[in-house]
Amino acid sequence: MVTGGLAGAADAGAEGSAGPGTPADADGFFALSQILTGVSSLGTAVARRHAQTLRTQLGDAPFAAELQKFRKLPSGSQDPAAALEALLARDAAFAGFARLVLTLWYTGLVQTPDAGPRFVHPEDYFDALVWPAIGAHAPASSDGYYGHWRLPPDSGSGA
Amino acid sequence: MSADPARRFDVVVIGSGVAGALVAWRLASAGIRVAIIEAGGAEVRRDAAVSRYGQSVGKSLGAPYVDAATGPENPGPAEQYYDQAGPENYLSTYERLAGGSTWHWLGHTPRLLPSDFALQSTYGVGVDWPISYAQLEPWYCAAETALGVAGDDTQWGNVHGAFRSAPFPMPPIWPSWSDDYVARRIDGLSIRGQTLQVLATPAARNSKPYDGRPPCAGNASCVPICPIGAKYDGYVHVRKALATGHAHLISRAIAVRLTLDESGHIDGVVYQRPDRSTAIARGRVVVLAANAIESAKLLLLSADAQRAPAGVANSSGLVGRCLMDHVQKSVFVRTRDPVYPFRGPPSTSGIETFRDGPFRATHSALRFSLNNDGWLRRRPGSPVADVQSAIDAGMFGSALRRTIFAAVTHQLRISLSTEVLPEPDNRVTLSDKRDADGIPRPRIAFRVPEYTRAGFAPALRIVGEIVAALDATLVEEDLSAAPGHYVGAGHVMGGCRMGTDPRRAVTDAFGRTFDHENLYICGASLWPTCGTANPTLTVAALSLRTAEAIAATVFRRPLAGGFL
Repeated sequence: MVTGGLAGAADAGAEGSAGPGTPADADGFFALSQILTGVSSLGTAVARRHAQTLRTQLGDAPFAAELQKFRKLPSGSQDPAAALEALLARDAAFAGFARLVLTLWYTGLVQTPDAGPRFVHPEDYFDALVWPAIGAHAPASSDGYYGHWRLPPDSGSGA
Repeated sequence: MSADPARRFDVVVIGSGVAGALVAWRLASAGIRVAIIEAGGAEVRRDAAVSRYGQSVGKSLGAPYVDAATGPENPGPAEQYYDQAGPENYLSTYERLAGGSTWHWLGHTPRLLPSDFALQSTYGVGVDWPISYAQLEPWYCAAETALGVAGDDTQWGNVHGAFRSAPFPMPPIWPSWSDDYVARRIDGLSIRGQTLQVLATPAARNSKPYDGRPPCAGNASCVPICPIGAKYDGYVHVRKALATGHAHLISRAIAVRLTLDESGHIDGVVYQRPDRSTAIARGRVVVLAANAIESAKLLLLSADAQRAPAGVANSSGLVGRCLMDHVQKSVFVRTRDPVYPFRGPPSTSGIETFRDGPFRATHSALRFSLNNDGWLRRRPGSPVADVQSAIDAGMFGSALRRTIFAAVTHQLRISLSTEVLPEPDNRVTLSDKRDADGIPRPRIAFRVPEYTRAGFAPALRIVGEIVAALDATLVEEDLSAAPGHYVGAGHVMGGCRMGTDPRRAVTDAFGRTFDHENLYICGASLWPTCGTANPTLTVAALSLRTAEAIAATVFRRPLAGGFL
């Protein structure tokens, strides 16, 4: 199992994603998503769905080109987030791509040019990361016991 | 007219919301044959509704229920269906489907207060109801049993004189962490000579298994859909009515006319099918329970040049008049400590303190709700707005997560609900514009009365003291008294008010129209005034009472005692 600097630092998720360029994450979308979202345990099925959504929205070639920029970041770096940050700062197109990735993961929404934001799949709403980030769940998908709202959230959610 | 023979029943109920469903169930349970004419579709599939909700971006009230199939147009956003005559837009809407608007309601079931039934004699404003709180009280208990209401007996024994003769069927829905946080800091505070107390809001929401339905799991999506049926919806009683074998639901059937015989009886309900063919249902009794706007509209549509020139049941000229809503406003607060919104029902507690008092001689009563929905209702709404602004600012990773957590977990909304006095010029008439089914749309004239506007400044001062006691920051409020600065509560009330005098009311205290002895009206159409209570529990109480009156006076049949 090859662990590149960036993916290794992102702390392989539950499914054991082994880094960009490996069979499990050939284009690096999963590893990039982990670093951008700050969540290592992303669902791989969700990731595949989001990758396909963005591929459809942007076109195969532009999608691949942006991910290529991420894969070309030096591996073995001491501070992978800093390398990514530098890329975001110098490359406006990549920064725009990163914002689309983040918006999709955190809110489930994609922007359409004429119709405003929308959910491509209803699951995108339920899987949105904003909800665990605030110690909650997506409305209409409670996994809580009766009365759980009387107590604070169980886990720290990035605080 | 279609070639079908008229369908004959004992009772024809128009509308299968909570009012029509309860009446149909009670009568059918006694073997009385009931037809339920429902403009919308039949049973909602909950999983499909949740999926539609998930996919909706705006997540409006009707989002889960938008019906792609052909059928009667669902009156969705007010702009698409109401013909707004102004000067202000009437903002509250409803659902057209079996079970009615309780599919999307919040589920709050406070009772009206004794003073609410006697506004004129107590404070010299508005009018009195032809029934007192004491007379309706046993029916409130029956309604709470039928719907399944959770409430706190230690708190609600005698709020503003609203005594209780029976305990709540279920213990209260647990308040939220946010409610407890606020209550610790404001309980006992004296404002304007009245003492604040945060009370758990009674709700038709299971706090334990009840009537074959599960307890609340905190899906937080009550408005507009409960995925598990812990929140009551009117289809509970549509289903029970059908299960008796004596009720027949005719869905996708829009009532378009009530026909009269020479003695002034309603002898038929003409309804229109999606293909615009019509049929007629006949019954000894007709119960009109189509919600306040549609019921008034149908009566006006049924005008008969000889027998009812101003509309059926309209010799008083009051059909469609004195339309009301609860005017709502929100205050958005950033709390000093996390309060963790978006967990639990959108509201679990409120402040009942200012729902009554001598000030009602000069301005409206005020009901405050503590809400668990953060700044969802701001424009733009959280949490998406907070997430987007952090992303647009270039944040990612754990910094992004920390920022989102810090922003959203400190968000609180305090909302105000106020009463509107009955004004004859606030009214429903017939528009010359037609809907997708070729039926005249309702034309609505509405203006928030001065009595209501006069309450906003006092409300802002009360909220200011609450925010100070929380050591919090008031971020946005719109307690402006300027026209148009409010939100509708979804409480469509008035238009066919009850009373004692046939010249000043449309029905008696049982909802029986003065003009037509076999026509009853159920639902919030009947409201002479509206207090600050969400109307559904009172709708249910009055509907159960009317069902008993119909059974006793027309069919000479007692109804069975149990309400579950």
